[in-house]
Parts: sequence; C-alpha cells; structure tokens
Amino acid sequence: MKEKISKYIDGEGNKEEIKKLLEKDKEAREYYEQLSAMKAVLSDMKVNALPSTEKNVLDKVHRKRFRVPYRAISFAAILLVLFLFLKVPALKYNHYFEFPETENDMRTTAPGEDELPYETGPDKGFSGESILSYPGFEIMVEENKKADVVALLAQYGKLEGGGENIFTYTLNSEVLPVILEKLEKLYKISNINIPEKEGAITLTITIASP
Amino acid sequence: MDEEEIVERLKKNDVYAQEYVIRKYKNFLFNSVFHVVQRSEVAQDVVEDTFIKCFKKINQFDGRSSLSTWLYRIGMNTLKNVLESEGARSRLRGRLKWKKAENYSEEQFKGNDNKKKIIWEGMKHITAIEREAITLVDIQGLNYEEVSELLAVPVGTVKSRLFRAREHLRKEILKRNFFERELSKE
Repeated sequence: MKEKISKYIDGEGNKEEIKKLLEKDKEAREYYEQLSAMKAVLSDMKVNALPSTEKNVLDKVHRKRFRVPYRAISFAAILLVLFLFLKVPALKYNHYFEFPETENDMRTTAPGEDELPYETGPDKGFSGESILSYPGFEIMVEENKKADVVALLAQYGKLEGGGENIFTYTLNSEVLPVILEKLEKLYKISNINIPEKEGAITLTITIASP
Repeated sequence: MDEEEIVERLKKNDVYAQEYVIRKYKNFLFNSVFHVVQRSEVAQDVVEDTFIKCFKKINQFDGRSSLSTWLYRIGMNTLKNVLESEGARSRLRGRLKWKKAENYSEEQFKGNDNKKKIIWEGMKHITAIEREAITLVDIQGLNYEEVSELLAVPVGTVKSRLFRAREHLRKEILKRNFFERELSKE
C-alpha cells in the first residue's frame, strides 16, 4: 500500500485505485499526507551553484599553461654540481700555475736543492698527486744540428734520460735564458716562453728527422 | 542550439558553447552533488571539476547518452573520488569517519524555515544512495525514466530505492516532529 502511495505522489500507478484507497483508509490517507508534505518541502530545497562557476571553470580551462621542465632542470643541476666538484679543484691548480707566488701562498717551506718546486699541491683539500709548478717544455731541433744542441745543453744541464732522438735535460731556470738565446740565434728557434719562476726545469729536445 | 551542435562546438573548444553548457547544467549538478554530500564547498569544487573534465574529455563523448547524463556520471565519479581520498586522508590521521555534513544554512536555503531544517537533519541520517534518489526525484523533479538513465539502473530499481529512501526519511523527520508542526501550522 505504501509503495503504491509513493508512486502515486509522483503521478505514477493506478490513480483511481489509490483515490478510492485514500477515501476509505485513514492510515493510507495519513501516509499520503505525510509524503506529500515531505515532498512539498523537498521540492523547495533547490539551491544554486555560485554565480562565479562559469568564470572559475573557463579560467581554468583556458588558462595558459607554462610547463616547467623539472626533469631537465634537475638533470642540469646535477651536471653543474658534478662539473663544480670535478673541475673547480683543477682550476684551483691552474690558477696556481698562472700566478706568481705571493706572501700568502700556502707553501711555507722553501723547496730543497734536489727538489722540484711545489711537488705537492697546495694544502686545500687535495693531495696524493705530485704537481710540477714548472711544466717542462719541448723544443724540436733538426737532425744536422743535433750534435751542437746536445753539446750546448751538456754544458749547462743534466741529461735525465731519453732515447736516440729524444733527450730530456734538467736545467736551472737561471741559465735557461742563456741557452734559449743561443738556440734562437744559432738555430732560429723562437717563440719560446721562458718561465718566470726560478728553479729546475725540464727541457725535452726532440730531433726531427731530415 | 541542439545538443548535437553543442557537442560539436565543445569539441572545437568553443568558449561560448562551454559557457552555455555551464549555465544550463550547473544548478542541476550542484543540487545533485550538494544534497548527497551535504557540504557546499565540496559540491562547488566537484561541479567545477566536472565541467573541466567534461571539456577536456569531450572527444570521448559518444552520444549514446545525453550530455546531462554524461555530466551527472562524471560529477558523481568525481564526488566518489573526492570522498575516497578524503577518507584515506582521514584514516591516515587516525580518524575513521569522513567529515560531517554541514549544518543547515539559512543563507543557503533562503529563509529560516524549520521544516527545511528538519528535512536537512533527517537527510543526514539516511544513506547516500537514498539521498541521491530523493534528490533526483523530489528535489530536482525528474521522472523515473530520467533517473533510471542517470543512475543506469532499471525503472523498477528506481521506484523501490525511492520508496525505501522516503520511508527512511519520513521516519527520521517523524522523530523530529516534522508532521506535528505541519499540522499545527495548518
């Protein structure tokens, strides 16, 4: 009975049958009145969405999106960090090569006589690798001048090693300008940068084949 | 504009068609969601998300159902997701219940009406499925066939679900003297 009344208030079911039932049955009539009253209030409980709904939705739908390439940025940051860790210490030593010693230099003791200057790096986080502060340099000499050049170098320097056509000498940098001047005048060797620092230096002579 | 034309224009991302659709369906969607969840802020967010999803996925709309049905289903799925995620968050915080429904708002219902307030309180004590049936038929005024299409259930199921929902609500409001007030007013 109740289910039929429930349909009846929605305009469904056998209307004649329900009308008769409501006339005869007080309980049915009371139930019908309760459901009708409830439905009347419910039908007045519509509420509205916010007036800004259109604007909010359309703003979000048509908003220009700037996608930030987080992955690329992260990858670049990792590369940068790696570069800084690997490269900057090397730059630190390059800097040490390029600039003359100062009073504030990290080295506190003078190199010994049989010691190349600054065999170890400055005491700033790196050790274990011997670093020559005076890099050796090479000169190429023609075959027919080999004997003269070897004789010249034998006067001023000490033969450290070498083979048939390659000779490595240790020279004192004080005599280096003299040697280089002679080499330049006699054998037209030029464009040699003479190190400004004092100490021992390695000079490698390579004899060019005729 | 017929529905086919609207859908075609939506597929072209036509802002006027989008605005038209929002204007046409926003209150229907809002009421459907609001009376089920009984929280206006959640309902508003769900409605906005529903339209955004609709416009983004309009190419998936195949026309087998009406646009309103499609929107309704997106809306209810969105609501379900919101409540599930909220439930998950609540569980993480050690609370087992979802947030409670809002209190009756005179502002929302435009006027201090005790009968509405009693119904609102009664609705809190029936299930979400029952609230949905009552909302669609009694509040929105849809017929059984329309509700059947929206819920994708047979008409018979709609009738029985609605009957149970009304019975449940009637008992709840009976406890709160709804009908006595009604009679005394008359």
